[in-house]
Amino acid sequence: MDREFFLKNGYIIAPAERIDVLEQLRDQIFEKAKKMVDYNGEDATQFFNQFHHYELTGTQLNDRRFELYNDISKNLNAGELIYQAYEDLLTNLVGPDILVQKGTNLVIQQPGDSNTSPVHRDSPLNSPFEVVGWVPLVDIYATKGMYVLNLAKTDKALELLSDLDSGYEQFQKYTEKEGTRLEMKFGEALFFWPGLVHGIPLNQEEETRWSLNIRYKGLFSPVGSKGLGEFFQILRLSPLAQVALEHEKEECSK
Amino acid sequence: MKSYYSCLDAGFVKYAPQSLQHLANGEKAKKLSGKIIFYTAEDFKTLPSHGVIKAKMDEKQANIDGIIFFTLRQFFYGGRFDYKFLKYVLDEGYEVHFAREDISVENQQRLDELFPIFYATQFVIKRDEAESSWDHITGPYERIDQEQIISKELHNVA
Repeated sequence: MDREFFLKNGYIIAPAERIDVLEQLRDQIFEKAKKMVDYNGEDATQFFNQFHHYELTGTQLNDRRFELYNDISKNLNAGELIYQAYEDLLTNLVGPDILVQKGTNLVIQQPGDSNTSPVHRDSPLNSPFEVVGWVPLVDIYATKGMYVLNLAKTDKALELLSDLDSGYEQFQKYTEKEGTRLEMKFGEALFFWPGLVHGIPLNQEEETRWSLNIRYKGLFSPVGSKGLGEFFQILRLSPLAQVALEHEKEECSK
Repeated sequence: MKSYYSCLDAGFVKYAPQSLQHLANGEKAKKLSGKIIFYTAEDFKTLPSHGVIKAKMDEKQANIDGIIFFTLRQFFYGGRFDYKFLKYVLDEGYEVHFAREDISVENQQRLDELFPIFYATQFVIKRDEAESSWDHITGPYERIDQEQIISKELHNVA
């Protein structure tokens, strides 16, 4: 892991340490998704990229996306698989006692779909002690991806918000202009500090983006507005934490 | 169809009104393919001891499968995670569910699995939140009590 890059920018793009695990996850999502639209082919990449040809929009799209979200989170155990794919990096960033967000979000961004997240940062609201994992299931480039401000530019963008009249407009324009547009191959993932400002452009390419996003944090690190029990679950515990927690359980039993 | 008691968080009604807590607990019951047959809430003074719900459980005619609490925080009012009471409820043969966290504890094994997240949740809240935010949200008569205490203390100082 390029520690210096992360410290300077607040994000890092990393190749999967275990691409087989990520491929397994992508293929499982593909198997679920293709049943929803009666696709008989075997090419996951083509299916995802050309998904807009099914012309699903509004609630039709959202209902399917939500069904997949439930499946990905509960049955496919995506938080565990993404962790396995980037285990060394995540252990370096977060530590050995690690929590994972209960739900793994799925975004399907079709060409020309203006329903994109507004320019924002995840923290505050979320804890600044989390890391966000953004995992595209297809190659991304140009407007098919997202843009992100580094630490220094995030500070500048946030200053613009102080203007009560047009602050958000200036903030948005600045982020669109100064944000780094990500170019990533399937297998690479973006891990970023949740205080970074980021946004999604209107997808003007001829392919649909499918991506997952999920958060990881340390067991005892401070929480944001989203509490531990409601938003996170245990992913890994160090041997030391396991022994200590067993001891604490005994104490709590008295 | 399973039947549940609903136990609202009396200490948090100011921020999550009863009506909202009813909805959340009812929704949790629905997810469990069950229904709420009775609801209750602790007195402010029994928040740490769970006295009210304990008494309801002791009524042997209680023909329920479990208790749905609004939030895990209801097990933190004593200043630490009340593992003992949760275990007691399970030992009595009832399931325990939390609506806000969408967590179910069906048996001792599940409680053991969940202990780390329950413990850490309580630990982090106690460490990081202002002590006053940890108290139950007081109603009018509690405020009077507080005023009386303060006035008494002032009197003593004077």
